[in-house]
Amino acid sequence: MFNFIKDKLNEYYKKASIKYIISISFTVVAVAGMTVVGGALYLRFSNSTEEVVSKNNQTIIDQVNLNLDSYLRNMMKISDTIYYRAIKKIDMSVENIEKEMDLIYEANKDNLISITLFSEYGEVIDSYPLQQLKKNIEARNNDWFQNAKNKKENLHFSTPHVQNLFYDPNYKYIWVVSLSRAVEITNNGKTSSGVLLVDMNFSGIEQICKNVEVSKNGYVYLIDRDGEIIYHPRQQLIYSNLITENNKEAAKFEDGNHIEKFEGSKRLVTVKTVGYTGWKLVAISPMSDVTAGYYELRVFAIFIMIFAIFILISINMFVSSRIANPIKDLEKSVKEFENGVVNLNITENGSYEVQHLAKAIKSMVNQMNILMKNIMIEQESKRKSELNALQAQINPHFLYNTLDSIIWMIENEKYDGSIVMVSALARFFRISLSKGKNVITVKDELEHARNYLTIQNIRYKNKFSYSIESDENTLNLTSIKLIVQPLIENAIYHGMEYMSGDGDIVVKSYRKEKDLYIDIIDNGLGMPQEIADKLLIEKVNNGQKKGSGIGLRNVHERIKLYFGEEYGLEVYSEPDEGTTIRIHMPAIEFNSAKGEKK
Amino acid sequence: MRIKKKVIILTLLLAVLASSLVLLKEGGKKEIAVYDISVIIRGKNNEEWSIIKAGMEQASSEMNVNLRFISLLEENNVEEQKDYLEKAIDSGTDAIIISPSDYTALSNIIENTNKKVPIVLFESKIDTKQNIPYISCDNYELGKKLAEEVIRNGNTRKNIIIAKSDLEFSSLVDRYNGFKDEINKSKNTYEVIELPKDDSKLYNEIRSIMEENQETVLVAFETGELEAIGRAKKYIINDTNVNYDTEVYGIGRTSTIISLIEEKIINATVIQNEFNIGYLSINTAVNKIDHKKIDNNINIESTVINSENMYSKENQKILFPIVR
Repeated sequence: MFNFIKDKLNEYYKKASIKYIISISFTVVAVAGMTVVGGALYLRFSNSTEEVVSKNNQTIIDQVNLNLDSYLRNMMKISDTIYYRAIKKIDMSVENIEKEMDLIYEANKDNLISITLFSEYGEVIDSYPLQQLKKNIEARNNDWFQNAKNKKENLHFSTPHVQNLFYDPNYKYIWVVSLSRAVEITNNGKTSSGVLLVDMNFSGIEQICKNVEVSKNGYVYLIDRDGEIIYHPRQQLIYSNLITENNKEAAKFEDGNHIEKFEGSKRLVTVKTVGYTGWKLVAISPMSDVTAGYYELRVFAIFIMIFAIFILISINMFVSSRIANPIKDLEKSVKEFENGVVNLNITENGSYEVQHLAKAIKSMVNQMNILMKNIMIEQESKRKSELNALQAQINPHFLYNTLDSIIWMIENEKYDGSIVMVSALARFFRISLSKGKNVITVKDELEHARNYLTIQNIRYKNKFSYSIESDENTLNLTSIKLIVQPLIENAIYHGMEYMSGDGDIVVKSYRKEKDLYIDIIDNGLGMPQEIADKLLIEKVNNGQKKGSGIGLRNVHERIKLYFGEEYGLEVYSEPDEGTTIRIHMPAIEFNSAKGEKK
Repeated sequence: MRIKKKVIILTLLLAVLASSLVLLKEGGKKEIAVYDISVIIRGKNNEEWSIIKAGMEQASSEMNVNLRFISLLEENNVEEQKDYLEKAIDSGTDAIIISPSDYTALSNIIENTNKKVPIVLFESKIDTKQNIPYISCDNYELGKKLAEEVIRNGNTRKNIIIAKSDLEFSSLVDRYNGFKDEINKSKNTYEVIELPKDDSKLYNEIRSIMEENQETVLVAFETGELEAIGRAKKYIINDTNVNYDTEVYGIGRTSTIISLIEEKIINATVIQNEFNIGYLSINTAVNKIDHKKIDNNINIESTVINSENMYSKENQKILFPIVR
């Protein structure tokens, strides 16, 4: 699996552009980082809120405990005072304790309902405030009485109950918490046991617990050691079975913070045992209260994270484009270069390395261009030298033939003829050399051809006639040197030599539109057109013939080299009729050509 | 590149806006809905209703209800209730909780109102085919329980005098039927009398009944009547100093009734958990406003209270609700 992902990633990295690699990698790293940091902070924060809430609950419940404790201690003090200051000191048969009761009752009126002293048989010995006792009161049946009698050394706090000892003229029924203890009563010098009952108004306890703010939906309740509810903010609802409370479970909790799950919701429970009574104060904070802040926090954290990620992405894109764009530009230039764009414009921007690369590529391209140019120049010169070589090839060939003829004439003492010939040869070579120029005027070229024809005519003893017809407008046009003469030579050798009758060679120069044509027409043996077509393409080897087409192809190639592929020679021939060789060149005025070509 | 940047900045701004909107919405969500609920009882604002009211107030404070408790100038006045019902609708209340004073006379107006404003019936109901939530004890059962208590106290072959008023609210009729059906199973006989409303006339009437009929049983199904009879009996005993063995039974709870039970002037009363009636009425009304699922027939528990069991741990919680 891991390998698969790795492969995929590698594949992706190979395909993706540098910009995407940078921005996506950075972004992935940034998002991961943000998530980790944000998550960690969030967790840390939420944990600390929980701690804060727990601590807060603890503090609050400690405070409530303090209040409750002082309240209960106050009650115990009342009980103690009456017992030790009054009951123990007096003989009931002689005096009563009303005065002391009155004093204490008046001092603690707000919290006290009644103070009553019972004999061990449950008869009321004394009580305050003085009220009509209910008939049929059986005090001994009550828990508080039993508890006091059974555990004499202790003070006993009861759970809340309705006071039912006295008649109330307004039929009021008051909820009280009873504090009872066993006492020793002296009556007529004899001691007997009794029970002292102090009824506290339940609202006193209610007041202490009521306005405690634990959390938004939190509350504090009070239970006795068995989990019986003493105070609950929704006490009557619990009594009416409309809601339930986890009080029985809470009674088992140790002091401190607990998390309980009750009716499907998690709650933070803080328990504190109230001194002496064994009651337990329980503070409840639903976890939803604790986590209520989390939601906002979460939204805020996500918001900040998204914001940061956006900023990071944009920074990443900016940075990556700053890094990648010059490289991309460079790559584009290189691609263009590969496609053969000549005037390459390589921009030098971006980081130092890229600039350096761009510079290097730029200088490399320049170097290459120079090299290319050099190669071209070399190629050109090579071509020229080839051309020159071709021209050079002609001269000895002809010279040999002519000199051969002159020798022949001198040997036969034809001096006049030889003079004509030699002078023609001199003129011939003057044009041939023409100061080493490759191009001459058509006039010169034709003059050159005439000289040649003169020489050859003498050589062949007027075996053929010739004429040169040139249009006036062609004379000043440009021609490559020594193109007509080799063709005439061909016509003489191949057309005339084996002819029985009179040969005739016509040289014509004329213009057609922008082109210059020079036709060399003979009435020699001729050949089939198919062979004529091949003459210019391949070397026709017929062995026995002199020259054998070398001159023809040479001229053809030279024209092509000089003027371009569309120019050159055309051969038209028919057996026994003759051959026409047509030179095709562009019509360029000689003066302008001179300026153009060196 | 320029366009791309702009797009990025735009999305960024949009994200910021969207998130702040979300945050704002969260902030606004915390505004708590407050419900205006009118309660129309079928009597004067006296002690009879105090515990129901306490239950309603408890629920109101928990559920953010603005409670309007409307009592009548005259007990069980149908016209007055109609009038208050219309006024409550006009005031734009979110729901109306009503204890109809007549089973049939109020049917139409309540049915019509229910189409506009959610209505919850409590304590007594109307003749309707509509699905109107009704929160009460099983009043038939209440009457039956009372009869059982009468028989349990050794009254097996007695003539039982049932005080019956001309009132027509449903719970009263049900209680009467329940009691009658149970008594008919025993060898007891019963007669129905109509008691005067005036206190002195009532005193005389009760006195003559007590003096004429030895070992008789007086039963009242309405709280006010029970209290009046109880009080009359107490005065008669005080005045004549004769301990008549007339037994008094009834339904309902006031401090006076409890006190009279303690003095054994009233032998037993059957009480409903009135706190629950009040609490659940508001609860149901709020649920109906919020279109939550509601139980249309909520039955409230009832308890027989006599001088022996009134201070039991469970009964004192019902009898003397801790009301703040």
